[in-house]
Amino acid sequence: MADLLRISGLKASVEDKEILKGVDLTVNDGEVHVIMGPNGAGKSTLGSVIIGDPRYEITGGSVFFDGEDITGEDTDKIVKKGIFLTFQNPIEVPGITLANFIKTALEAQTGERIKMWDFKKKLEATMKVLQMNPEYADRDLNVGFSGGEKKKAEILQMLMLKPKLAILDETDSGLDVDAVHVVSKGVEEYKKNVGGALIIITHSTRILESLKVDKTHVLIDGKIVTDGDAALIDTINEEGFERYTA
Amino acid sequence: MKEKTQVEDIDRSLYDFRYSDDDFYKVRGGLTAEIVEEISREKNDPAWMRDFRLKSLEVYNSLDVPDWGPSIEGLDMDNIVTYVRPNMKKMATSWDDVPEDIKNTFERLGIPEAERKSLAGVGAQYDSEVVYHSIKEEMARQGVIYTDMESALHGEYADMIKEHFMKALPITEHKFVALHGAVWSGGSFVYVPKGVKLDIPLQSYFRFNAKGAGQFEHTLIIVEEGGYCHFIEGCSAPKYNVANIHAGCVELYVRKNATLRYSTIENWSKNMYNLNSKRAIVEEGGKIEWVSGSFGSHISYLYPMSVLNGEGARAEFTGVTFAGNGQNLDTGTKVLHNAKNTYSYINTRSISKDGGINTFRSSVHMTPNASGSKSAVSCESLMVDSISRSDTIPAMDVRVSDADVGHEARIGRISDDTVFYLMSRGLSEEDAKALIVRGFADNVSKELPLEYAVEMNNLITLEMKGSIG
Amino acid sequence: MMKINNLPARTWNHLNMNDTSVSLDLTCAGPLDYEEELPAGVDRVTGRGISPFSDRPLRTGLGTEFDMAMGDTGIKPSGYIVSEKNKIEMPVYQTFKYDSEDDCNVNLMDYTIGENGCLTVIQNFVSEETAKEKTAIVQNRYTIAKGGSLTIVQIQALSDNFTFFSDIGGHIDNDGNFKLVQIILGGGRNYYGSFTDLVGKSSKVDVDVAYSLNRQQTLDMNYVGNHCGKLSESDINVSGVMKGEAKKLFRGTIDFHCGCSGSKGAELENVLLIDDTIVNQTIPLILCDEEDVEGAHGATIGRLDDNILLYLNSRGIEKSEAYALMERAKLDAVAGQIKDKRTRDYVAAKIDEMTA
Repeated sequence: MADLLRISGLKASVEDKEILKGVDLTVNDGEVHVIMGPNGAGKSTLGSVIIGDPRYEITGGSVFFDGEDITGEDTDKIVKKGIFLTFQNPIEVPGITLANFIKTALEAQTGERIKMWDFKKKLEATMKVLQMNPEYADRDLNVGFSGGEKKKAEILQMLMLKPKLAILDETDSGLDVDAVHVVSKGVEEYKKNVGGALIIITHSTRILESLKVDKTHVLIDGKIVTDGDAALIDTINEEGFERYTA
Repeated sequence: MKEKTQVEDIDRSLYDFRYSDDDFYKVRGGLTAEIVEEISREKNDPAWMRDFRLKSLEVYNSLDVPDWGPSIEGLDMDNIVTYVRPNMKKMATSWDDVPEDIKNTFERLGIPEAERKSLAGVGAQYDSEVVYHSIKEEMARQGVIYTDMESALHGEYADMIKEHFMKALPITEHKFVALHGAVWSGGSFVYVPKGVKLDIPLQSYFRFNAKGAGQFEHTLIIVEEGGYCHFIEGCSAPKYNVANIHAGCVELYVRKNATLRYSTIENWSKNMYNLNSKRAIVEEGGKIEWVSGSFGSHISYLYPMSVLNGEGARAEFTGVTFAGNGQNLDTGTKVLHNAKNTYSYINTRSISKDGGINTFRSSVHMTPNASGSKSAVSCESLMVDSISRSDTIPAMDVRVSDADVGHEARIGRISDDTVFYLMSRGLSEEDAKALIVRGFADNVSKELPLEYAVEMNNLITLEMKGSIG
Repeated sequence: MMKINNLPARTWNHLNMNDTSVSLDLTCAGPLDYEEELPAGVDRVTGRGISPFSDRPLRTGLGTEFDMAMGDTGIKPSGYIVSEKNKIEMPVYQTFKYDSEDDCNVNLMDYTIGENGCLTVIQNFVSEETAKEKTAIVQNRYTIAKGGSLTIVQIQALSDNFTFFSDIGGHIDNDGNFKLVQIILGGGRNYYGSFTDLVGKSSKVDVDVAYSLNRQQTLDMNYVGNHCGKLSESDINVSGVMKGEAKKLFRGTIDFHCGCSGSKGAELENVLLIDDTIVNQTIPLILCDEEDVEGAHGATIGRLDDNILLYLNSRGIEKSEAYALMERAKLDAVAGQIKDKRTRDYVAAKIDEMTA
């Protein structure tokens, strides 16, 4: 298996405060990785930095995707290579419908116009899988959506855009039963139909219950302090992060 | 620190008292080249200043009065005495040398007390001349200069004055800047050397005693690279039944990475035509912070302007204007964004009561040089009754695409529910409304040193008295 | 020279926002013979078909001087009368094709809506590409009686050689409402004004304007909600996109007069700036002579919000595409206010044509 994502010694800061202090991580095609860690360890930052969020400054290391150096590349160029990150709090964009948005994103990815009819059919089918009210397709992107609806809209985009690597930032959604259900369902569908790799950033394990996890990483204070297999999740559930923070 | 929280103790006589000016030197009323020359002679001006005054008079005569603001028909310059010099030989540096009446005036206004307790330096102007100036020795040792404009003009800083005087505010700007140029007298000069940070404020207090006269003080402040200074100006006058005019000029030069905070509590009497001009030129990384409370005057035209000329320069303007019976106060601010990544934040509140007229007027201009700049304007108006008036006239002119200009304005009244809620907790209607208005104006009171905030809240309480009916 | 679009309260003259001077040669002006589809139930009359229900003068957005010049042309207005309780479902379609040799066309339209009557008028302004400089003027005046309702939709897609004036004004009585939707896609020099006199209790005006300006196009606007009646409401929404060397000046005023207690007014402007060579001026006024009112205005001017841009980027949409999306969104949002499907489709096609 070829490595899909290779992060080496990645350092990043925001407003001169270093958040990532040398992260190493390799994800192969189709693998499922879980990143765990206490609040403020830099988990969400890692996702943002991978897709080139301009608010963060990369101060060291590199990110390779599909054999290409994407360090410091523009966000839209990075994601077009096949990376998708879910947002914790997706932005509300008045004036652009969810359907129109996804269609535009798909067209941006493929560089080709997509026939409205084909697209609508596909979108409706995918929304059905997520048990999403089809009316949301014509509502303005995330405007007035509840937390659960926003989550569904994010997963819907992931399934429509079919990334090679999906990064699910689920840091805050650990306690919301509905959100857990949506994400689980979406991940199942993604594995089945797209077959891409996954990085799940979380501190809840319920999302992971029905999923075969290949590797688990513990991120503390901007560094990955330990790697393991799926069994590490259970260990952390029992013992917490104390043994790594000392 | 003054403890003036007992609002019942305040009465109008705090500001409204006067002393005789029979033995003061005065020019006759009106504005002619002879009068301007007389002032120049009396003040012993250098030649360039005399020429400058006469040139200003010419410009004054060539310009029209503004056709867009409150009417100033009641102001007849032919009757205004433009120069009134208190009867003292030279400016004092000790309160003991200040004549009794004048000293009493400032004592009643609490100036010497504030100086002892919380100020780095004090200037006090009485009618047309500065009567007292002092600066704490430790400040002077760091090279800080705080003196009256006349001393500066004749002393070792003469060149610096000549280089900066009416350069930020050219006399062609408008009619009353030209008037100022012709008859200016008094005011303060502040120089803060590179890297010097004054941790306690300087204050100038302008007291107007003479009837039917004008005050035209000039304030010039230069804060050099990396310096910091907080300058407070206060103003008051007794009320007369004839027009008085105040046409001061404030010119502020904020150099690279320097910060200047300029706070004003204006409480001129309600026969005053306040036609004041203020401008700050801010260089790279510098910041001007205006804090402005306008309570007095019959007519006011007041729009401090920030010129952001250097990359990353910033301006903040926080203001409150309270227009009561017989007042037409036209206040606001202007910002010129003329460099990259400049930033302005404007936050104003206005209160109209008892027939008072408030106009918030602003202009935010971004030139093609201003890419990456941001401006946020927020103005709120409160109508206390239906016989008053409040207008909001904000202009925006953006000529660069990489900009972020936000504006919001709101007008409304005191909510009956809130008044009812406060009354249900035992407050009278009057007290409840005063409390609400003080809360409404807290954008400014929060920015002022405590004793000034207390004074401002007292002014609001005073203005709100008798508002029920 | 004539002064139009006068700001209801003046400010610093050097800002050049108080009014706009235009020179207008009306000596050869005549009306354009526009195409019309007239539904049953509308009385069509020639001559001023307007009968104000109050003795106050009827004012228009472009101003008194302009209105008087229109009267002086001697051109007979086209009057439309909707009688009491007559709710006309089908819109009046008016298509103004400026393809004649005329230098200047002036059309004056008067609408009288009777008590509880209802009418929608849809006006399309189109032209062929020619090099000749032309002027097109359309004035719409109205009175809306108690409970009446009038909607005017204007879609303007003229070529850049046109100077276009749209002047609107009228009175609204108790519970009446006026809705104005304007989509501005063309015209070289555009002057738009609308003055709504909210005379009656609970009268209401809703204005939605979208524009897209490019090249050397200019747009000069003046919208006034004049609140006199108690509980009256005004809502002015203007949004647009500016490219090239376009210039725009938006004046919007909510004027609360003494006695209009319980009234509410809101105005909002949203401008997306694309090039550094544009000039964008905005002056949103609230004038208030009454205590018991609620007024608000807001403006957002400049580049696309950083957070929105990042989100769009994170889905692979690049900056220029993101701006195009938002431009489209602004025009679509206002087009969505048009109830008539035929017109909505027409506008969508026009926007496609323009943004292609």
